[in-house]
Amino acid sequence: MEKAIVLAASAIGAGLAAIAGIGPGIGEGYAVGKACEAIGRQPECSGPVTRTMLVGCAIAESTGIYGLVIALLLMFANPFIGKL
Amino acid sequence: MGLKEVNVTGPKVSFEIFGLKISETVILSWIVMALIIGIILFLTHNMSKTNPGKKQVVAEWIVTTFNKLVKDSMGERNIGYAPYMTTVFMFSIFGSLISLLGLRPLTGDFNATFSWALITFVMIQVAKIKNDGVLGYLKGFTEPIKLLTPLNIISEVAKPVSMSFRHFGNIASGIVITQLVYFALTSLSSAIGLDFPLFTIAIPSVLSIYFDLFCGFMQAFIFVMLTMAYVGSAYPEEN
Amino acid sequence: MPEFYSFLSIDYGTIVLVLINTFILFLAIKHFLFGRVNKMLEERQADVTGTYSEANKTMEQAKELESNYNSLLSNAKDESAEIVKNATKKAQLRSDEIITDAKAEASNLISNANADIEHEKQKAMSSMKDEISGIAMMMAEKIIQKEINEKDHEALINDFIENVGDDVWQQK
Repeated sequence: MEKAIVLAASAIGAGLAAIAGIGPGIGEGYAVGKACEAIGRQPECSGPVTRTMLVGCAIAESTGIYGLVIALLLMFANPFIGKL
Repeated sequence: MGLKEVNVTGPKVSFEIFGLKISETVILSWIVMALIIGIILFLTHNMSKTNPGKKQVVAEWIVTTFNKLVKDSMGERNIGYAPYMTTVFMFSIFGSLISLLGLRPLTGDFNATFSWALITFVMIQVAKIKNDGVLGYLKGFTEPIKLLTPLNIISEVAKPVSMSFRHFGNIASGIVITQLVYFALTSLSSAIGLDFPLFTIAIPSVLSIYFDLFCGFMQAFIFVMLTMAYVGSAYPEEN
Repeated sequence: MPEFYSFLSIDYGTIVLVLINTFILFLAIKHFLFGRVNKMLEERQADVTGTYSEANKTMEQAKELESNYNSLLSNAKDESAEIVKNATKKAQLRSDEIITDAKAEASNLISNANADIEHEKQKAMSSMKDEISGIAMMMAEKIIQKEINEKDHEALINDFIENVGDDVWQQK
């Protein structure tokens, strides 16, 4: 019974953790839009702009990745079951 | 019948020697190393100054591209980092691409990406000490005000952690999703009464193109770019 | 059944081994890829620079030669112009000389001719005078008949004819 409760709570927690994907989605979309504007204005700078955008997106993605890792952890390497 | 449940695990323990468990990741990294060293030996074999062949052009392209990349993002005096960046890039990209051969991607193990992030962390600290001196380096943590010292330390530690988790998370989520899709397709095949998992033939390859090729390349590139950005800003060009 | 690590776990052995592997791969790439290729690129760069400097040197030499030739050519032009000028001058002198000679000869001829004419004229005049005086004598002889002394009359008539010839009919 206890195990079932822990598993259910972990599953719910994993689902909640995946909500963290919203933030990076919005942020990266905004960043890519701005990068497109910049490239449209100055096409000769497309190389550096793309590179900077990718690195910026990677940093913005961090929070989403944290959420993903927590979700994966709760699903496949649940640390709470061992504590029962 | 098909699988009864999805069981996503880490790398398996390949063998044990003197009580030390050798993980699958290490074996894979040996394979990748052998592959890369073989490739570079093949590419740089029999080089000629006046009449470069195709493989020599490839080798020169790799070297000049990385030299230019390092020079552009870290400055002229950090050009010595180029071989290390090439190493991490190739290790990472080949480590991700071996999943095309049906092996577990090397970068899907947190320990591998974390060890590279550790190198990056050490590099950043060394570059800072080289730039500011030991006292200046220690003083740098108390800026702009002393109250922020813990936060500065946390943000410094968070860099390698976030880098390694980013790389690991992208590749590992690829593994998990591929496994889930594979499981779902197997179940679907058995649900309509087929003994043979028909749907698993072509469909997962689409995912494989995204997760293995695109993600593998992107994450390797981003990891290297972030390393260069952090180290380059810690040891900037003198004005 | 093989033993598995957990999905997300930290294993120090793996970390250390991956670090060592990365280091070995770094050394290999640094030595075999970057060492060899950078050396090759530097050598090629040196070669290219050498070739370029050599080409520049050759170009300079060629330019020098060209300017030499140009100066030689312009000298030759000057010289030829000089020669032509001299020749023209000489020819001019020669032609002047010839013309002067011709003129002198012509004037000589003219004066000779004039002298001849004068001579002939004198001759003709004297013969005419003789004849006229003879005729006059005959006429006078016939008219006056022996009355007049032949010698005195001859002098008289000669004087007359002289004056008449010079003054009147010869001038016409």
